[in-house]
Amino acid sequence: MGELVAVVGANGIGKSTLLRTLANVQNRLSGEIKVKSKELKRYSPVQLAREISVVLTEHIPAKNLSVIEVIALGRQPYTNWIGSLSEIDKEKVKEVISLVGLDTLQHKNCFELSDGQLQRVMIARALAQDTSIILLDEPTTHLDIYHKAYILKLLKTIAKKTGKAILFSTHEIDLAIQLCDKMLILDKNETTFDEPCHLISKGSFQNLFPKDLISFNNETGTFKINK
Amino acid sequence: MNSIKTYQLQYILLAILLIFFFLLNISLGSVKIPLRDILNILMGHSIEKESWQYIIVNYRLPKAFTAILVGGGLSLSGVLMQTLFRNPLAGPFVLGISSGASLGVALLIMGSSLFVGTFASFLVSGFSIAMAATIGSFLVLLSIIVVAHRIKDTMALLIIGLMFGSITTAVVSVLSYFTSKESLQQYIFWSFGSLGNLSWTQLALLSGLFLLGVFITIAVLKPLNAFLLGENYARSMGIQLKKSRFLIILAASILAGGITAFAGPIAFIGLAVPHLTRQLFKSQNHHVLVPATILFGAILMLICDTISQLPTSEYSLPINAITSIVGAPVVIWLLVRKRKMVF
Repeated sequence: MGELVAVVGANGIGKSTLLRTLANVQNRLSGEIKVKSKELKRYSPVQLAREISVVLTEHIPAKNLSVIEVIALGRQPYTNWIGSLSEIDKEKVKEVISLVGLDTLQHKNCFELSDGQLQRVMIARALAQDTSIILLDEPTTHLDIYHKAYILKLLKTIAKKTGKAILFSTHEIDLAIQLCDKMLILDKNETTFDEPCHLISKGSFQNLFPKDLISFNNETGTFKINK
Repeated sequence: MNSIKTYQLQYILLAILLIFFFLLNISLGSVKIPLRDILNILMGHSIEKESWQYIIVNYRLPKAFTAILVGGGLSLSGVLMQTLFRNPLAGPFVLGISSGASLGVALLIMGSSLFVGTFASFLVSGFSIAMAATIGSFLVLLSIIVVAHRIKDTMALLIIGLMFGSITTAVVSVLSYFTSKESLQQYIFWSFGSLGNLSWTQLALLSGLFLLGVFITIAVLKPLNAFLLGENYARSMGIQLKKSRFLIILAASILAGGITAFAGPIAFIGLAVPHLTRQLFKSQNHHVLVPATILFGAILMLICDTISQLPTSEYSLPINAITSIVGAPVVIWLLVRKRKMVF
């Protein structure tokens, strides 16, 4: 158990919409969403918050919160009516901090962090929420290639270690092919879901973008600009 | 997360300061009363001069308590609005609550000049002014809550609140253009703000509103902390957005509306004290921030009131001017010195 799944597709195809709908941030247009074979709408807000946590693209407004404070806020679905942390909550926060490797940064303020570090903090906050599903909306934007790989590798490790289902949208198709267990390709005509190697052999990436500018190389698993 | 215990020292310091400035506030005034006699009166002993006792019990004590409630309440209201709108410029009056109160009072004072004689003077008594201000701010509050229920976007709500404020201010301008000199003067005196006009009954009513505001705030402490991460994260952590937003607005409005009704529109405190508190406590956690802000606001208001009664003179200055003259340089100095705003 524990899978890392990427959602890929062209701009405007609906990756964010899909994730937001799954997270119950916006209403579904049609169809059914079931979490653990129970209809999404039948969860109470707190119940749902114990099943699904999110990492969004938006910046958090309170930049002078410390790293540990942001992560501790992830425990809200479990805290009492006034929101004070129990010993279990504190233990969980500690565990998450060491899992994501934020020990040295935990008392820094968020405005002191780089984009990559901040993204790790937000992932740690989602982990502290202790849900079976984590949804991430483009977790690698604004990061350099090293940190892109670092974040994805971290997600992979988390999925394996904790047995969580991690679903993220991304434009880093080549990185996702190398790391993900499964991929969901959103396209105008059809939506495919499979392991990356099968998707390559099926040629699913070939039709993702108009062929006049870039084409997908099946051997290297990357996109090349046509010259 | 930082807890209240981490800041024990600061809390004790604030409490001592509060007691000190409370005593200072009631011992200074146009009539000199020795501190020993004041303490005797506070203990419930009677002293030789009955006039002194009257001054302390019926004038200075209610005024000091009013200052504490006004300062604490407006500051708390400011924290609530700043967190809800995620905007450091938000204060208790962003939603047009003070403009609503002003409109109520303007209608009363300027409208009553149409009547003549004893009826007019009956209309414009202290109590009816408080009533008019309450009704005015309550009506604005009601329309804000109706709008808040229909609108999803909190920022749109902020703009709508500002528009409500503009409309009421404009109506007040029109009214004052057509009114008599005397009524205009009376209205302007009200808008200066005053802490000294409350009887013990009115003070009890104000305390009730203050406690109600504090209780609602305690009930929304958890959502307030969640809002620090933005509304979408708050929702993903199981916070019911509409309900929490409604309660936050309700608490802020009860505090700001009630205080404006009894003490007039008092500027600056609600906007600045939350910032001062964040500088001192370096925390955004509302468990720490809420009690600290109330204490800080009460102290600052006591200081401002002490200055405004111009110790040993017979005059007292408008409190509304003093709050800004004393407070604004403090905030500027703090921000320049730290070169960074904690928000």
